[in-house]
Amino acid sequence: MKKLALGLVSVITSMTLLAGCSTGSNSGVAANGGAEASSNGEKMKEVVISVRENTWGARKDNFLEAEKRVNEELKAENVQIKIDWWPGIGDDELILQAQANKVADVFINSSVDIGWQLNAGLIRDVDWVGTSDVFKNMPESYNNIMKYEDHYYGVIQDMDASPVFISRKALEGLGWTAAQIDELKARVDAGIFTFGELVDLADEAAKQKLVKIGFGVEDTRFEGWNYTFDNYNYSAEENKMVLSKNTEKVYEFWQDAKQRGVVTEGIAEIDTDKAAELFIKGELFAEFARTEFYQVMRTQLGMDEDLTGYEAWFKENAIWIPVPSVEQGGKPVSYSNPALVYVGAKVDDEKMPYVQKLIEHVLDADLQINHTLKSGKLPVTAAAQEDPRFQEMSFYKDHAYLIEFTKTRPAQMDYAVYMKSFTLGIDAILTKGQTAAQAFELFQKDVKQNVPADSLIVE
Amino acid sequence: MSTSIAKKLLVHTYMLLFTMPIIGMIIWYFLSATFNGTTGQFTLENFNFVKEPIEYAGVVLPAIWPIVLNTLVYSILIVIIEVGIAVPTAYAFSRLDFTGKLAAMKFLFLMRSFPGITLIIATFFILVQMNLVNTYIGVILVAITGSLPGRVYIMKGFFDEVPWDLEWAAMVDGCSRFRALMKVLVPYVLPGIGAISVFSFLGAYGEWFLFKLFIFDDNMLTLAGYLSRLVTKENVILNYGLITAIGLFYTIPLVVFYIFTQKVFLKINMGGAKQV
Amino acid sequence: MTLAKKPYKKPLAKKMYPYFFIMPFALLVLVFFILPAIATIMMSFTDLNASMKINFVGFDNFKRIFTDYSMPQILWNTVLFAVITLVFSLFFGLFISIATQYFLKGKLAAVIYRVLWLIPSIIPAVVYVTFWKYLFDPTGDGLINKVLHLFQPEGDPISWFTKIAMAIVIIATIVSTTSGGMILLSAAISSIPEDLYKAAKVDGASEKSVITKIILPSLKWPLMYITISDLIGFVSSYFFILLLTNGGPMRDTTTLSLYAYQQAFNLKYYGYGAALSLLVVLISLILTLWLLRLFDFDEMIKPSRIED
Repeated sequence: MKKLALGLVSVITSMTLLAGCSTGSNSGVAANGGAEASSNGEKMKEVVISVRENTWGARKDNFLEAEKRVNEELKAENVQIKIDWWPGIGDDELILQAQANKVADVFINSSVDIGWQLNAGLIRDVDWVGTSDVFKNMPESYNNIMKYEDHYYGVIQDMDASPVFISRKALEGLGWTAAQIDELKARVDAGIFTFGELVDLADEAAKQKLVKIGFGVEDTRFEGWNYTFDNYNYSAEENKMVLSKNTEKVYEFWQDAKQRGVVTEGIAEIDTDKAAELFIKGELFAEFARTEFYQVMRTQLGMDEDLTGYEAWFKENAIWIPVPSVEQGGKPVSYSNPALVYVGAKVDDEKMPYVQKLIEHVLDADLQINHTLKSGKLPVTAAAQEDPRFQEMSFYKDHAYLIEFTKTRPAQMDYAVYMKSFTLGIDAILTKGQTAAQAFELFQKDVKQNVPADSLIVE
Repeated sequence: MSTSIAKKLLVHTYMLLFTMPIIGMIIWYFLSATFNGTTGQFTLENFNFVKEPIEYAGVVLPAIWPIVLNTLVYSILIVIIEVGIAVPTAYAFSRLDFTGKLAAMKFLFLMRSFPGITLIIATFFILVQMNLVNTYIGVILVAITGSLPGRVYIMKGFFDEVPWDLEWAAMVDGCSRFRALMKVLVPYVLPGIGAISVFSFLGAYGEWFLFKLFIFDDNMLTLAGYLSRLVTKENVILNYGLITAIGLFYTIPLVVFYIFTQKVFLKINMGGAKQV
Repeated sequence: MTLAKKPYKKPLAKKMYPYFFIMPFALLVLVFFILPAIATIMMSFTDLNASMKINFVGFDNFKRIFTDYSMPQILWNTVLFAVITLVFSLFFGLFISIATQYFLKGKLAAVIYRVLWLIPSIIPAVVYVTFWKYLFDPTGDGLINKVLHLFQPEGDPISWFTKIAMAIVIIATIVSTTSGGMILLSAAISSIPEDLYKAAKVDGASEKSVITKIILPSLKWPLMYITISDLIGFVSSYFFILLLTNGGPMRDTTTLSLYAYQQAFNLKYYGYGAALSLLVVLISLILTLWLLRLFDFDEMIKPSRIED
């Protein structure tokens, strides 16, 4: 009997414990509650804005700083905002938590996520972006990134591009003079140096044992290669994925590169971190990654605190170019995967002005540069690029022009499954020794089966 | 005697051979947690998480000690609740006759065919309806439903072992079935309760998927859930040193726990050898 | 509690009595198993996706499963993965438990072996896979490639994850799951009375016949339990595969349950994912029923002997 009593007591204690744990979990869901006394004794209206994001780079610091700046401005109106910070989560959790009514007012995700997030009812339009001072004179590429079905749905938080990092030592080994190496970028920009020539160089360098591996790439689906082969896969007018013949050209490149040993069978296993290691050791001819790769190498070299040292190392060991055009006289390409700030579907028009103010201040020029310094991403606006701290960093400053023409992945809902079919073809070439034609055949079959028919145009 | 030594040597040889990868693995985990990959120097910086909250792939992970406390509270709660439910259920299956018993036992076995992941989305909606998402109660209820069938089976094995005379004697003395259970049987099946407690504890300690989906609040995570936060959205692991360091922090207490409780495992009897 | 003392019990109360014991469990099963199971079955008839709008599409998802050109390969992978993993982890489980509980019974070495084997199963999966990733790393940094390099300094590092992905996945799973069976089998062997061995020795029985005549027959129930639960576990497990290869290269290591997971979680096609996972359940159910028959399950459930 005693035991029973003891057991009961422990169960009851634990229940209270549990109840204690579960309270407060839903607190802070956006509400115009709470009140704070202002200096003149009047009650200030408080607007709580929930922000869901990880602390990556200076994102969190910037939001907190922006909160201060907004509040400074709002003092006159007798209103104050307050950020309720939630940690970032994966997409599955975003969807599920929305079902439990937990959607943050502001959150950050990739630009590719607009489509499904809209479909899942997670986000609302932010059409004020079109008229906001922050985005005055923005490059045309931004419209493509932020707009979906004629509305703005996200605000770019940071940018990147896809410079190709090439081993300077390997080029020297191939007998290139310093002048030849230094003018390579200009030749790429002018469309004189083509993608095919780059493949030949990598091949040559590997054959002469100057490097162990020709090309490394952040992901086998790497859009930079797709775009240079004009394989954009997407029709914005109809918001559908496009099954086009151009894909076969990309596969032909893969097949050729595989046969010549420019890419290795296990290329998919070499992630950016490992690629940085190989590049530092001089074992990799060229890495196709994005802006952050510069920062990844810097961290691996232990030079986070030493900009001049790193710039000297970089100058001695690496150069970068945009992804060259495949055709003589063509334009180089770049691919980016920018993060957008999204506004949760529950934010009403009454609250939106405050959310807008907050986001606009996050994009204050100095805060953007704080983020660049910490994350290795590019700032978004032209104003930020004029910041002296930005001008100091030659690598970022020099390749910021890529933003003008960089492309991003389409925000189409079924993009993920389409890309799964695409990489299936690449796997077939890499690991099964299939030809480009066979891979394309497989890709076609897979796309037709798995991409919902109402999201696909077959050319 | 010499043949017996030769035999033992042979057994050891095979066992060592089979166990080699595991020994190698353990050595690697220690090396990877304590050596800096680029400089090759010994360092304990990967263990900084015991002192302060750390940042990983942009996530500031919560401080570790409250997480340890959560883990203990959660695991012990699971043990208490699972034992509290498994013992009477196993008793009924072992000792009592009722309509549908055979069917119910088969059903228990077939329940295992439904992998947890299959039902997870539907379960989530049920928890939402019951207002139990983001609570420990929700996680606990779902977790124990999945693990109880196994516990009941083990426990039933122990009840099957108890001589009927014991229970008879108690009942002749005027005990009710329930009191007979509490007074006579429970002490007799204590090793079984020990065994399922250990299993429950291990299961609870390792639970991460339910935390990932049902718990929104990082401060409520347990160690296993904490670890699962280290895998990014694309299933990429970014910092091998850190993840193995936390892995060791997670695993070593468990190994010690197992060394002390392994005798309990040896008492498990799935209606086995001694069955008449 | 006072029921038993009353001279005349109501027959209904008596009948209901056992149900009180199983009530808490039954309630749990109803709310957190039967209800979600029904909901999942309903989901499989919808095209539920990220929008969470329920739209019934009849048997479309099931039709799609049967016309999916990759399905034969995926099913074959599932069989290959589950059967090979099961056979080896049962073999190792048996071997280790006989070695530690019969040959080395009571020795410290026995405990050490068992503890070592337990470690892979308690290491969290995300940490566990890092070792295998390192071992089979495709660059010259991987352990195996390093060793090979010693013998063949000229050879290129081998891309293990594209060449023998399935083998890696299977080995990693075996090493991690063997201990589950090991624990139960060790327990069963340790409960064999010493006298039996002694008697056999006196009769001059060989080690082989001790194992086949005394030990193995006593392992029927635990073996049944392990076979069934491991097999179902392997058919429905995907997590190691997800972390090690994510089903690749191509779909070479995609098992049915991983495919279901990818459809539901990576691609957000919940309806199709539900239909696929029901197929996993169906396969598990058939396997379970078949194995229960094979092991003569009904015999295991003894009738109660007290009639009160």
